[in-house]
Parts: sequence; C-alpha cells; structure tokens
Amino acid sequence: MSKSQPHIILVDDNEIDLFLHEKLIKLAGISNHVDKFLSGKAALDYLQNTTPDIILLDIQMPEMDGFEFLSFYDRFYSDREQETRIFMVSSSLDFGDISKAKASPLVSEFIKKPLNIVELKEALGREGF
Amino acid sequence: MSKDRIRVLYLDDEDNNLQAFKAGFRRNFEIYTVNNAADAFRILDEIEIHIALADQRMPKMSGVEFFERVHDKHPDVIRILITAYTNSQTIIDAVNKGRIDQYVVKPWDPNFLRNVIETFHATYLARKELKLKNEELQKTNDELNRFVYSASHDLRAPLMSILGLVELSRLDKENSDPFEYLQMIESSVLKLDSFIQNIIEYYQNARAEGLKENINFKELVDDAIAVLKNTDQTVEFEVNINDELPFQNDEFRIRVILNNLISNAIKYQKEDGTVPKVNITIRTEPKYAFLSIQDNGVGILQEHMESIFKMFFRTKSSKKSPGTGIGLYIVKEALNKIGGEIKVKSVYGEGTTFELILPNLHE
Repeated sequence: MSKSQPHIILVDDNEIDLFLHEKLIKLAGISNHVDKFLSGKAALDYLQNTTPDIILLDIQMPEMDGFEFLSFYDRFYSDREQETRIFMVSSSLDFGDISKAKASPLVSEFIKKPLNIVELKEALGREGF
Repeated sequence: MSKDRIRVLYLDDEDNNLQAFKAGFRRNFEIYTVNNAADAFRILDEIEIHIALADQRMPKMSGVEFFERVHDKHPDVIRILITAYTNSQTIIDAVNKGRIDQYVVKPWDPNFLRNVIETFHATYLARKELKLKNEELQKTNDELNRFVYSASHDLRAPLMSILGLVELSRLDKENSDPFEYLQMIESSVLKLDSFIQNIIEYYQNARAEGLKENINFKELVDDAIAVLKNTDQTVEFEVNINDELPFQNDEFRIRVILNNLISNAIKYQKEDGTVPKVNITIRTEPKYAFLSIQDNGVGILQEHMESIFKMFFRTKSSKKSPGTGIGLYIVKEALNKIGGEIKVKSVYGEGTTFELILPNLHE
C-alpha cells in the first residue's frame, strides 16, 4: 500500500503544532499532501467524503479529545475499504493516556511530541509507508 | 452554648414516659417526643437530630427494628436504646442489627442519662467534623489528580512546541522568515506563563486567610485593563463604577476575580471583525457590591453552561489565546472563600454577562 505521496491529515487544537508537523512532514519528504484541522469535529466532517492514508491525532483537545474522536471514527468510518492508519501524537506523559492509545485497535502507534523526523519516518515505515 | 442546643428525639409508645423525659430535660436539650415510628422518621427527615432514643418494647415496631432503619436512612444519628427488660438476644440484636451506640436501662437516672447524651453529642460532632474533613480531603485529592494530569499536558505542551520549533529551525535552512518561528516560540512561552500564573493564583486562593480591606474598585479595574490592553488594544471598555459607599473584603481575591473575568471577556471575542466591547458596572451598597461584566464575544453554548466553572474545562476559544481551563474555576473558588455569588447569562454568538454579588464586610 505504499504511496509516494500519502494523504496525511493532522488533528490538533494547537496551531503551532499543526504548522510544525506540516513543515516537518514536508521537509522530511514524507508527503506534500497534508491537511490540517483545529478540532476533532472539523476533521470528522472532512472525513465524510475523504479517506486519507494517515491521521496524526492529538490527545488533549477541548470539546472533543482524541479518544472521543476515535470512538466517533470507530462508529462511522472504521469499516471503509481503503485503510487509514491513525497515529496518536501527544506531549502527554499520563500513563492512562499512553496505555489507552496503545491499546486501541484503531491506533497504529503512539508518538511523543515534539515530533521528530526520524521517529516519524520509522513509525510510518513500520506501517508500510 | 445556648445557641446550638443538642437536638434529641425520643420515641416511646407510652406518653407518660415521653412527658417524664421532656419534663426532666427540657431545660437542657431541644426535645422532640414522638409515640410512633412514622412520626419519628418525619422528624428525622426534616430536622438534623443529633441523638435518637427509643424504647425497646413498642407494639408495631421494636426499638431495635426502629434503629435498624435509622441506621440505613440517617446513619449519622446517635442511637440509644432504652429498655426495662433485658434478655441476651435483645442485646445481641441491638448491637448487630440496630447498631446502637449505647444501651440504657429503665428506670433511667437523670444525671446519668444527661451525661450519656452530652458525651455522645460530642461524639456526633466529632464524627461530623471528620466527615467534612474527609470530603475536603477527597476534593483536594481529586484536584491533585486532575492537576497532575493537566500538568502533564498543559505545562508540557507549550514546551514541546518550542522544542519542535527549535528543531525545525535547525532543519529548515531555507527559511526566509526566522521571526515567524520566534513569534511562535513567544506565543508558546506566554501560554505557559499564563498557565503557571493561574496555578499560583489558585493555590494562593486556597491557602490564604481572608482579609478585610478597603476596596477601591476603580483602581482594581484600571489595573486589570492596563495589563490586558497590552495583549489587545482593539477592545473598547465602558466602565461605570459607583463605589462611594465604602466596601471592605479581601483585595487579593477580588483582584483575581476581576482579572479573570475581564481577561475572559477579551479572550473570547468574535473573529468576524466586530469591535470587541466590554462593559463593566460596579455599585456598592451597605451590605453588598453588585458587579456586572458584559462582553459582545462568542458567547457560551447552552450545553457548556454547567461545566464552565469546572477545573480544566475548556471550550474552543479564539485562536490567539486559548484558555487554560482554570480561570473560571479560580473565580468560583475565590467567590466561595469570600462568600460571593455569580450568575452567567449568555447567548451563543452574541455575548456573555457575568453578574456577581459580593458581601460587604464594612460595618
């Protein structure tokens, strides 16, 4: 399923991190096809008509956090033919958050902030990107 | 001592006993006499009884059975069983089922019984105090848990953003605008700093003793506006203060309340070009001060109205300065400390008004 330019969407309430992650992904040559969303809800709306290859999902967000996003995603989008890999990206050190992220069948991997090109490439590589 | 009498309920099916009890203790205690269990529960439901006494032998329900139900419904009440006849099964049931605190044999000696009631009243108060302390501890513990959770995110997140930006500026050799990165670093630092300041305010509020100081509302509002103007110069303030009547309360807490509410009024403004307006009205009266802080910002969704005062509750706010979720919680805690009240009126998309009543300690 390797693609030269995977479609990546970023979901994070922090604009700076969105900017940062987009830059890093482009600089690393992972993809030029990146869309950014400031809330889980905005991302879910977008997903109605689009199936990206990769989602980088923040955990702590107001109104709908990363786990709430996942449960909506599970209900409405998880049975699509084309697969989307979800990576949770967070600065959280909370044991519960990290365990929950790792336990979720929807989540490929938990990646620590600050996002680091080498780690991101390795994580995506393990999923065939 | 006379203010807070010991409240005693006495249940006995024989009116003579009730009268004798009342005659013997009416000068010492606040006495409620009843001759049936239904009335006893009616009183227990409505009045905070400290000590319940009941005769063991009654036609419809024994004293032990009565206390079994009291223990279920009003576990704090001290239970004293009075009985003329004793067999070991009654005693065993009284202890195991009725969970009684004391067993008194009829005919009772007035001095002894008074002594028992007074001693157990002290026990009652101590248990109640312990319960309150436990609830406080539980609250502190919950807050600590939430704090650690939030610290792991809200304190770290801006730092991780900064680290990421530093890393990026190292990689991005062709970047033509290094100021862009610096600006983002600055905004992350400010975010972290405001979070730290909020936490310090919160702990100062939780610890410090309340003071009685002369409050100059004009000065407090001017200070708050002066600081906040640095972050946003477009806001139009309309301030109406009528504080000719002297007002006294705790200055630190009132400052915290005003700063947070005015800062929110600025923070949650619309992003459609509307000129942000903040109206501040304050009026002092002999017993209270009335404050109103009104904005024409984004407003609060009806479904969030109940949650806005909770610790670390955040809604989506303006992109420029997102909330930390601790401001209104601090406001509420500070108001609890000084005995004030707050009401919110908000129309989503039109604006929010906070109305406060603060007690005036000036005599």
